[in-house]
Amino acid sequence: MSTEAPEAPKAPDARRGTLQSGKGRLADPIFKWTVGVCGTVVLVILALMVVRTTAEAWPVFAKEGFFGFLLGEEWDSGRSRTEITGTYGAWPFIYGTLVTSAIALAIALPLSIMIAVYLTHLAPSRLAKPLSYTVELLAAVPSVIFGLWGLHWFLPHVLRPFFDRLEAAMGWFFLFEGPVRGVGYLPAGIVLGIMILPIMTAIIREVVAVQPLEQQMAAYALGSTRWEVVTKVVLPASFSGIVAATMLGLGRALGETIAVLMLIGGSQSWGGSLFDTGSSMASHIAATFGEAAPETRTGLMAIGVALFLVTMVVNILARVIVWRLGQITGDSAV
Amino acid sequence: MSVSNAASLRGTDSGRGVAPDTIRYNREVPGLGDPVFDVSGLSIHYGANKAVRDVDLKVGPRQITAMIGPSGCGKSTVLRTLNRMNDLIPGARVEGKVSYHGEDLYAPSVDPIEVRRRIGMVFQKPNPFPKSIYDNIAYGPRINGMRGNMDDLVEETLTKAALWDEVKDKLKESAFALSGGQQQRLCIARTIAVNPEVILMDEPCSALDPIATLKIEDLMYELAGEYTIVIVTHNMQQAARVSDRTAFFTAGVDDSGERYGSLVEFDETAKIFSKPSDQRTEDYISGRFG
Repeated sequence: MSTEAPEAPKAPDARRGTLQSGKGRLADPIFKWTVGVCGTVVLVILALMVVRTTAEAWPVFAKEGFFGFLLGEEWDSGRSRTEITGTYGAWPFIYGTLVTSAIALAIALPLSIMIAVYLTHLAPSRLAKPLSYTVELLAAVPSVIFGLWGLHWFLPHVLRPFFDRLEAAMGWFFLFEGPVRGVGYLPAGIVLGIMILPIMTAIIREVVAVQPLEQQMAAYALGSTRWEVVTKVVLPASFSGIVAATMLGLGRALGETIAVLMLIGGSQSWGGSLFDTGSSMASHIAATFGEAAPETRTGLMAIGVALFLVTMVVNILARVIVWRLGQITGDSAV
Repeated sequence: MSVSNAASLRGTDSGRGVAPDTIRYNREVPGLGDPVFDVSGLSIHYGANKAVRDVDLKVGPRQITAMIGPSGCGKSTVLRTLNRMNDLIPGARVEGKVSYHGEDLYAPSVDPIEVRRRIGMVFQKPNPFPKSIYDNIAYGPRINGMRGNMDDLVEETLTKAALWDEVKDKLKESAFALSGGQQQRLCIARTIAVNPEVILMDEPCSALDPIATLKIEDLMYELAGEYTIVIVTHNMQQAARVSDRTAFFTAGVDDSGERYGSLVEFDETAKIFSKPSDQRTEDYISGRFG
């Protein structure tokens, strides 16, 4: 390369002025600071919430001990304004939350996967579109409507007859021991399952639909049946998305208040048959908050803290699962 | 007019003419023998559109048959009818006859799953599963209920695909960690793991660099001793280098203005690239259109 570089112009172009003559562009810094503040606000709100509830709940933790509160089986609220006189144990409510959410997931997870597979792989496109819209519409139905519908129609007309048969057939097993009461863990869990079904289906459908067609073609070209393509190629590749959908559904199930309140029965016992009545953390807070004395309110705050902890632990566990399995499949969508 | 001498073949401005020195493999062209595929009067419809018309073609055993032609000439579509992958495209319909060892591939009693087990396919873009290298190979044998030692099969298959030395220490790693060319050889290995008789290749090198392309071509040449290979390629030199027979397709427009693809000429590769009998073939291979 012997050719010389063209000579640089000696003077700045007179028509444009110098490079320093920009008008001090303000839009960018303003934009940067505005979105920065908005982003930080999220953190501040979360921190305030955690700190405030924990501080409010502190006297109860101080009296019962942290694990004493979480595992205590008795809830006997006092009426004092200044000190903690009652007994506060959150276990019946934690149990109610976990059991109803587990029932909800047991119903919603397999169903939502099957619906998503149907919508993406089997349904004729004429049907798939309206069905997908319907699923998304169902996700927007307010939970109080699920509660009302569950209590006044679904429970007496569908669940009661089903429960009676279930009890007759499986009554020897402690989870399905009679008597069948109507409201209780099982109906609350089932309606919760229906509630979280649409959002889970919507997410899983999205994830399944974007799985690369080339991989499915490769599987077909190796002599796979449609069943094998779905179960061995599409669903494993959708794993992290399915976990994410499960987390979202579970988050909703753990925190759902009003529909559970209407269907779980509101007792403070725990354990035994799924036909028994109980309370979840959220439903107990909502049911007693209105007429609670100041010390009971402290106890309810403590339940709030416990609920927050439960959701956090569940979320972290899910992330760990996705991360561990993602290392094998080379999936980085975590 | 005569364009049959080498100089005029090479001297096209597009640089796509085929020089004789690009023929890397020297071997006798095997006879058609008992053809593996006998395609006659094949037309393929997509909905109301008759996209490919009246194709007659024979594919001989244990040799490489190439399909070339400009975009839209229907060569990939024809390839996909050979293992019934077109069944997966909504609205696709086949007319005419495709025989595989004398058996009608489109007879109602034929199970497309069984067809695809025997007639494997390698695609344009490397498409390994999001699984480990090992599991990519093992997928086919597993779904086909293979018994026996999977480790041995994986090693044997990867060796055949000239990939074993490169991956033997990372069989449990994700297939996505491999380079594009390695991924494509993995896909070829995955196909031969179920021991098919035929391997269909749909532009297998179009996403690869020249060095990876040559490796795949060497591999194809190796495999042709054992498998029947049909390759669709955009790259004429590739067809000239590896194939024994070449089918040239072209795109046309019928009286009603509908575009369609059809077969122009099918012959031994050396003949197609030196003395084609159709003017359109000659124009195409000398880089004058397409």
